Parts: sequence; structure tokens; C-alpha cells
Amino acid sequence: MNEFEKQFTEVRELLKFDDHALVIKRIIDFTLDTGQIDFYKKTATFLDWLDANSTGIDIKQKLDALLDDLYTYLSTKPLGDRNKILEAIDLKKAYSPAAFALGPVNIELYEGDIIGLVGENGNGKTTLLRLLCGELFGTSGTLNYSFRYKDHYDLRTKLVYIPQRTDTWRGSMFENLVFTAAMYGYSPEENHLVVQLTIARLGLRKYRNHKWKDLSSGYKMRFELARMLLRKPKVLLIDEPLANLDILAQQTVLEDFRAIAKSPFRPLGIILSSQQLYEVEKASDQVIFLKNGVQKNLYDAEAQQTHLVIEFESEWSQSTLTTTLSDLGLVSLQFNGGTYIATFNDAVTAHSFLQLVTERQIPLAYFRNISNSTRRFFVS
Amino acid sequence: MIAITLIINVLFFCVGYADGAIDFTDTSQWSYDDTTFVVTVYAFFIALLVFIVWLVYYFRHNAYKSFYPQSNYSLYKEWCVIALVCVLNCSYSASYLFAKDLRARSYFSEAEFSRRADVLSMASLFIAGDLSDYSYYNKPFKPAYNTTQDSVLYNGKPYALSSLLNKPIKSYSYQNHEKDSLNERRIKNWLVANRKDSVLWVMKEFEKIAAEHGLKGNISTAKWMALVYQYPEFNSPIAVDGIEKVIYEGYDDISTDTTEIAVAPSNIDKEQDTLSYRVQMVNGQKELYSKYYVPGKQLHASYGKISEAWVSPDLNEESALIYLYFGLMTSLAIFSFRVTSGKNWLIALVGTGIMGILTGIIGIVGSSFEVYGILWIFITLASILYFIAICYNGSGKSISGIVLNNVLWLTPWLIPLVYMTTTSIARRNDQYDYMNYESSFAKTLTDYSNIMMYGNLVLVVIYMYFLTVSIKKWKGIAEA
Repeated sequence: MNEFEKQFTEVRELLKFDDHALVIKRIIDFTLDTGQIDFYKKTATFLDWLDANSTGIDIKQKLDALLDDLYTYLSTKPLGDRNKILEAIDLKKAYSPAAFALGPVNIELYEGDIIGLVGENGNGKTTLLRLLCGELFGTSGTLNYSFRYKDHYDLRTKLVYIPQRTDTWRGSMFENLVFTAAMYGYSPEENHLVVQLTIARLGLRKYRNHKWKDLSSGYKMRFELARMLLRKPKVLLIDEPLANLDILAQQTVLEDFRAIAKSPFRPLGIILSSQQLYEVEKASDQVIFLKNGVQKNLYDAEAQQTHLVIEFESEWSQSTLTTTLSDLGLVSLQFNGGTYIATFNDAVTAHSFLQLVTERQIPLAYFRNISNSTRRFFVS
Repeated sequence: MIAITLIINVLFFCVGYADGAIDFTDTSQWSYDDTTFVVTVYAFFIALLVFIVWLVYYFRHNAYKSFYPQSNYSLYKEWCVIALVCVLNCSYSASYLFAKDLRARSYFSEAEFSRRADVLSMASLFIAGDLSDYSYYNKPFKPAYNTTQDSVLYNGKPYALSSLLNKPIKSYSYQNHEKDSLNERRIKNWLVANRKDSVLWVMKEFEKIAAEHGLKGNISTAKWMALVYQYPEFNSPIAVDGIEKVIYEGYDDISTDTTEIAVAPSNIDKEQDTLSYRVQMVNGQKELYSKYYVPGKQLHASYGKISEAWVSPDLNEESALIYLYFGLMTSLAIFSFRVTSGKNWLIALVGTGIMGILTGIIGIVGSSFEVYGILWIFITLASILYFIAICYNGSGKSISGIVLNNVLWLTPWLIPLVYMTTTSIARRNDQYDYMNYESSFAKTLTDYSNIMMYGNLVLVVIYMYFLTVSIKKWKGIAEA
């Protein structure tokens, strides 16, 4: 079963469980994968029908029919390759000899990959993103892009960087996206269709005629993502996309990132920075932790974390907890920002920790195993 | 936007064409007319409004700044459109002025106008007017001036001071000095040679021209001929005036106890010339009428206007340059804002202003335009070289975003600056020669300055292509 068939099966499952919202999103993804104006029209017609019949009983049947059509077409379409897009080797950036320096950083990004960038404020996340998108040049090291481009301008058209604070735009959202689609070569016949589908994909259908000042910061971010989708970049670099989103929206956006990045026909590489560690770790194939500009990878074959590291909250004092947990082979107990970080030796498992907690009736408000999370880098 | 500015230009053209109609019955060539001023003010405000509305929409989307894909000549195309819009938008008053002159010139072909001007000039000899040398004037009705002689020689033969041979013809600016002299010579030689038929032909042509414009005198051509043609002295006591009712010049509206109105000295002669004029009291006011008149004043005034339209039109080579360069500089100001940023644009503007003040002070201290010119040539070349260095260096943009504004604004003036500085140096050298003449080199430079400016425009259009290609590549360079 190839990647498309795997994803298609997942969508069928979602439809079985009546998760229509998610199914519609994936149908839009598949529709855009076809690149055919007939499919754009079909899906756009369905969306217009849905606006008027949101509680209709035959939604499922229509979705099913659409999926069948899409499967018929896409099952014969060759899949996109997962080529390497960029490689940074010992890349460094120093603004001045005495100031903060980022690097050396080593990154390999492939199509379909999501790399998360985490770290405390001021440790080089934005600098790294700006380096990778060409906005800054490296002081030393190399940065290679594995696709063809005519000049630096052409290169930067293929690297979309969405900063934390996006620029103001004028006119309505729809008008701006139509302009973008026109600049990216969509023919007049397909321009409005593609824009409508992209707007629907990102949940912006109700806001298409809104202006910049009428949108919340979360929807402004979604607008930027919609514009990015139309630009069909090789790499998407995005700085703190989850910053202004509620918890539900964060998960939705991350899910969108996964779907977009891992498209079977139009994969792209995404590098995003965020402070939402766990959400990013769930969605990313690799997480890079930056501290004082120095890189640490979460998934590093050479340095696999073997110690158990637990983050928890408890009413007990640090000394009481230290005494109690020493029986389990506690190596260190740190109090960090309202929670405890306990490191145990190799033999201890999360199960044995929970057993001890139950036995000794340690009051536990919160518990998380961060042995394989960048959270542990924040304290080490 | 091009369509809108074209339509507005056409509207102004139509207004100018209508306004340029000549009233052939008007006797004044230089009557006060504030229409041009009003139209110019309107043109300014309409252009400003159009600019503002256009820029509001134009600045909404900037594909170049957003790194959308563009071909190498996209920026050049964009600049060409901006330049066209700017030139069209700045040209409303130019369209009006051009149309006004075009209307005046459209009555006849140039050759036909030249022929008519010659006829009217020659015919003016037989219409009352000032004599050649006023210091020799000695009319019996006025106290005699100190005269050194009481006759004037023409072709070696003496004629009375009041003879037609001592009277100049009226000329038009269209006729250059040589043509004017030739016409006078021609008609006077006809008189001397007693070529009545030739003189009659001139008068008949005059009458034909007047009839075409619905004008007529109160005498026939034959009567006119009889009144003024008195061979061999041509000293007829009867004057045929160019208008029926004489307008008092210098009339100062003073009434005396006897209601006698003070008149300018030049009309006293006419008042006392009862052979040619009659005085009439109308409502207690004295009015002076010609007994014999032809429509010379109206024709001279109206053909004078047409002559001005040919010779010194309101829109000529020099003024057209002003419109073109103003449009060009406006387009470059907008384009530079587009391709850099508001902040860089503003810094460049302030920086240029400061450089202008400093170079001006240095120029004043150095007491020469050359110092000023050389400084600006240096600044322009330095900006260009810096920009080229950044483009090919591969490192960050640094302050090239600011310098690019200067490159765009100053480069069109590089050749004119070099030209003007060279001209100034050449003229200064002429003065040093103590011969108080303009050398052929300095004169050539002065004579060809218009051609240089037009040629410079063409060069700007050409080099902007290459510059915009570089600007596109420059955009991709890292910021820092």
C-alpha cells in the first residue's frame, strides 16, 4: 500500500466515523493534488451546496462519491519523490564578534519532513529560520539547496518564510489570494476555484471578504498559510505559528501541517519554531533544541537518552520527594517553573515510577515522561 | 489607469481646442485671459487627486516585495507603466496648451498662413500708423519738434516725412527680420516703380482675407487705392485707418468743467485731422471715428495670435521637456518606493536634501557652478558603484536599500550634469580670454542642450531595463 492509499484509507475511516469536517479537508487536499479544473469545480460545487445544506442527510453520500472520483484519478497518478531539499553543514551566524552566535548547525530536510525548532527566547530560532530562507547570510559553513533556481530572487520565491509578526495587507482576503494565485501562474479559469478551495481548506470560508484589521491573529496566520499553499513552495519556514492560537486551533494547525507536508503528490518540507513543545514533538519528524545557539537534536542516533526523566507536579516539598524517590534510584530532582524534573538511573521505567507513587500515595497533580522530549533540554 | 489619464488628457485637449478659437473681430492681440491659469490650477488638482487614488490601489499589492515569481523584465515593464501613467497624469495642462496652439494653427496650412501674413504686412503700409522715425515727425497740427532734416531718402530720392516711403509695414513674429525687410522693400519698390496693378493686387487680397473672416471696411478697394495711392510722392493727406472707432490710448477718465476729455497726445493729431476722422459727442463723451477704414486692426491682432502659435507656442521644446522630466522623476520616486521600502525612501530623501544643502554651500564658497556640478557627479557615480559592488559582492545588502533610491533619482541627471558643467567651464574659459565672446565650443554646447536632454530621456529608458534586471537580482541578496 503506497502513501496515497494509506492516507486514502485513513480518510475512509474518518468518513465511517462521520468526522465530516476532517474528511472535507482531506478531500480538498486530494482535489488540489489532482491539478484538474474539473475536480476543482466538483469540490467547489459541493462546498457551495454544503453552505446551504450543512445539516443535510446526504452529505455522507456526496462525500463518498467525491472520494471515489478522486481515488479513481489519483490512484493512477505517480507519487512525488521524497528528495532532499536543503542541507546545512556547520552553519554559523554571528552578528558581531562579541555578540551572540548561532551554530554550528547541521540540518538535512527532505520533502515530507517536519522539523521543529524549540528553545528558550533569544537562542537563535528566528535567526536559523531567517538563515535558511535566505534573509540572512551565514558567517561560516555551507547551506545547499537541492533544487534548481536561476538567482537569489528565484531561490527566495521557493522558500516561504512566515514570520511571527506578519505584514499588513490591504483589500479583502479573497482579493489578496486571487492576486497571489494569479502571480503563481494559475489560469483565470482555475484561479477563483483554487482560492475558494484553499480558503475552505483552512477554515476561512466565512472570512473571505474580511480585511486585515477584521481578523484575529489566529486567522491572520491561517491567511498566511492559505497564501503559502497557493505559492507551492519547496520549503515552508514558519516562526511561532501556534503563538496566538487556542489549544484546539493549535492541534488543527499542526494536523494541517502534517497533511500538507506529507501530501503523497506535493510533499514539502516544513521547519517551524514553537514554544509548544509537546504539540510540536507530536507533529515533527525531528526536533532541534537550541540553547545559546548550540544545537541538540531530539532524535539523535548517536546520543540516545537512556535515563528516565519525569516531569510532575506535587504538593510535597522537594526534600520529602527526594527522600521518597531515592528508593527508586533517583539521580536528581530539580524544581523548574512550578514542576519537578526527576532523573532516574537506567533501570527505572515510567511504570515503576507510577508504582512507587501509588504505593507511597504521593500526591500527583500532573505527570509526563519527558525522556524523549526536548523538555528535558530546558533543564539540563 | 492609463485609460483614465488618457481620457482626462483628451478632455483637456478638447477644452484647449475650444479655447484656442480665434475671434477674428477682436482688435487686441494681447487681451488678458486667465483661462490658462484656471486650467493649470484645475489640471494640478485633478492630477493630484488621480495620483492619490491610483497610489492607494497600486500600493495594495507588491509581488516583488513578497518574492512572487517574476521574469527578468517584469520590473522594467512595471516601471514603464508607472512612467507612462506619471507622464500622462502630469500632462493635462500640456494637452490644453498644445490644443490651444493647434487650434490657432489649424485655420490654414503653414504655407498659406505665410502668404497671408505677407499680404497683410504689405497692405499695412496703406493703413494709418506711425511713421518710421518719430524724431523727424513734423505734422502741422503739433508744435514742431527739433528736426534735423525735413525729408527722407529712399533709393536716393527724397520724400516727405509723411510719405508712405517713410512708413514701416506691420510685421508678424512668424516673419523673421529678413522677410519683414524684403516685404517692405518689395511694396515700396512697387510704389517707386508705379506698379499700380501690384498694389491693387495686395489690396484685393487683403479684402479677400477680410471677407473670409466676415470683416469689411467702409471703402472699396478702388476707393482705398484712390485715397492713398498718390504717385510719385505718396503723401496723401487722407489716412485710411484700421478700425472704425478709434480707441483712446492712455485714457485717464478725467472730466474737466467743459466736459472736455483729456486724451493721449497720439490721438490729438487724429482729432484735428478732419479729412480722415470725425469727432462725435455721444452722451457727453467725445468719440473719434475714422471716415475711411478697412479691418486692419482686427486682422493684425488675430493673425498676430496665429503667428505666435507658430513661432512661440505655449508648449514648445523646452516646456515639453519640463513635463517629460517631471513625469520621469515622479515615476522614479514611485518606483524607488516600490522596490525599496518607505523607511529607506525617506532616509534617502532626507540624505539627498542634506547633501544638496552641503554641496550648495560648497558651491557658493567656491563661487562656481562647476564645483557644485562636479560634487553631484561624484555623488551619483559613487552611488552607482556602491550598488554594483553590493550586487556582485554576495554579502548582505547593508545600506544599499537607501543608496538604490539615490541611484534611481540621480542617474537620469548624470549626463545633463556633465554637459552643464562642461558648458559652464567652457564659458568661464571664454571670459578668461578677455574677448567677451562665446567660443564655438561653448555655443555648440548651448545650442544642442535641448537635443542632449531629449537624448538623455531615450538613454534613461534604455538603461532602466538593465538597472531593473539588477534590482531584481539585488532583492534576493540577504538583508544582513
